[in-house]
Amino acid sequence: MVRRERVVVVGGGTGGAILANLMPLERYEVTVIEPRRYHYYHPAYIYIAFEGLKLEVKRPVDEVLKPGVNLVRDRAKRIDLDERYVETEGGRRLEYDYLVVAAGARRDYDELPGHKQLVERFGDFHSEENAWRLWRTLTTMREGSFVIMVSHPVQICPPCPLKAAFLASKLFERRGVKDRVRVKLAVPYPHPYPAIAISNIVEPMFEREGVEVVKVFLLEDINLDEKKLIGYGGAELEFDVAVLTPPIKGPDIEFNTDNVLGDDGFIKVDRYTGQMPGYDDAYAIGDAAEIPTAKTGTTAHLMAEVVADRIQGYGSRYDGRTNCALITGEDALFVISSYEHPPVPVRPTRFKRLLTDVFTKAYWRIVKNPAAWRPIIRSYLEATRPDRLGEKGW
Amino acid sequence: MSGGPLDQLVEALNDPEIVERLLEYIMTPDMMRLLDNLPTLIRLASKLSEEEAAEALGKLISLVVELNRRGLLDRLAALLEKVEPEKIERLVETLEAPAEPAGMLDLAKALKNPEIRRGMGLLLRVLSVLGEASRSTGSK
Ligand SMILES: Cc1cc2nc3c(=O)[nH]c(=O)nc-3n(C[C@H](O)[C@H](O)[C@H](O)COP(=O)(O)OP(=O)(O)OC[C@H]3O[C@@H](n4cnc5c(N)ncnc54)[C@H](O)[C@@H]3O)c2cc1C
Repeated sequence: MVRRERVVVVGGGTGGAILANLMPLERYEVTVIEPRRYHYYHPAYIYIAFEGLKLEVKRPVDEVLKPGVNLVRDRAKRIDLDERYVETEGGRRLEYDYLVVAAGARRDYDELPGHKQLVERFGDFHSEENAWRLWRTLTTMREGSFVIMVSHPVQICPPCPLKAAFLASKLFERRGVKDRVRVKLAVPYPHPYPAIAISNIVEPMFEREGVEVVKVFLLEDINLDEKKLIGYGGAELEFDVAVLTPPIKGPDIEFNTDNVLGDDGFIKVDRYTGQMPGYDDAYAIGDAAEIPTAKTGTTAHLMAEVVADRIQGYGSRYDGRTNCALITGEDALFVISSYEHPPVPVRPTRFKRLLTDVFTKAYWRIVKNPAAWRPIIRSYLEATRPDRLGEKGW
Repeated sequence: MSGGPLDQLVEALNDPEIVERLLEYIMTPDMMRLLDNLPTLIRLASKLSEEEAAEALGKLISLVVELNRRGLLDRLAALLEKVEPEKIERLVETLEAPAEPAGMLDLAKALKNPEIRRGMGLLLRVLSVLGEASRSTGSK
């Protein structure tokens, strides 16, 4: 029997699991290294925090991987790209023919003094536990300011804070306290969203919704005693409840060379192929990779497809496509862009909310059997390609 | 093996290659836009359940087809492209504003205005074409 080539995948989240499940096991021996017992569906945190929804947030990693994929429950500590092995915290050494790092991004709650205390007090929407805490905070809040602060332009899922602001406003409305609780969205950009096409659509909606958008607020400091956020140039923003998007860093993994580490520990890759510079057998995908596009599940998924293809010798390329859902209540829109095209104008509609909910419901099936979903997802992405939608948008 | 023709059709539709081609055929940017606006379209389409509306729309479609056959639709479109909405608006405003009665003296005075003279020239040309047309169609 021919020896199967060894593919080692670091991280069993969205990107890692999809990649592992795409590999044909008769030709490849696939091993996923994942320290956590569970695979988490991150978008669920928003539904918990603002709608109290009991969605399926997590599943044991071994249930998410297809039968035949090996799972090593450990943390990758050091990677030698020249000798081709991964060392784990538990002292194991895994040799590979192909390496795929899909270790996501680390949320750094230590960068801003006071951030940890804010999360302990109010919660946030970046973990299951924090999301339930935020739900309790928001369902007992009776008056004052609820501030959602984008603490840094580099963040996971850029539309999420906007989604949060819309859903918070709806929640306070349902609770009958909308006239006493003010929702404020503070952003470091000159518009509510970095892309102008999307800002133009959401800005009037925020106005109608009564959400105040505080622009060009560059967070520098948190004053817990006086309940104030301090911005660059002395700007102040008072809060009764505040949620910050956590600053993010690349995965905490050492490499035998500095050549593959970019800013803040994100892994340098070719934006089209996911390949690490100088190594044709090592890739990074998803949130861990340093590429000029939004850190979203769509990116992780599409990069997983491209890398799975490339390992098998096909010449697929990732075009930077994003498709992040921005729920505005009963409607939703998508932030649709690629490397070549900034986001196109996409208007919120019921149909798009329906599509979002279909994807949410299908998530676990998609991850488990990505090959079966590939034609469906591909035809959707084709029909909504930013260059095809053009200025007219969708 | 499944027996009935419907079962076999379903089986064929389960083939990933067929699924992909079918979806590619159906899913286009316009289709996505259409799905987005389905409630509006259904509201419009439901109007056609009224006999009169269906009949009127039918006539309108025949009319448009006829205009197209005679090559008038393209001309109409070209004309529309030239029309400047502000000018039409001014014309309507002028027509709606109360006008003072004018006598021969006013006419003589107005004819000094070059714009009015240009207008008069146009009017005379239109009158001559109208006259010619009335002769060829046999009206008196
Ligand atoms: C609130 C929220 C809402 C979101 N909504 C959307 C949305 O609507 N649409 C969308 O497209 N995206 C959305 N995203 C973004 C999306 O969830 C992420 O972009 C996606 O999960 C990235 O996948 P990944 O595989 O790169 O990382 P992850 O899914 O985070 O997985 C990384 C895995 O690596 C493991 N790991 C970390 N370090 C190591 C190590 N050293 N060794 C081994 N394993 C390690 C982790 O335990 C984890 O399981 C949202 C994110 C958040 C937080």
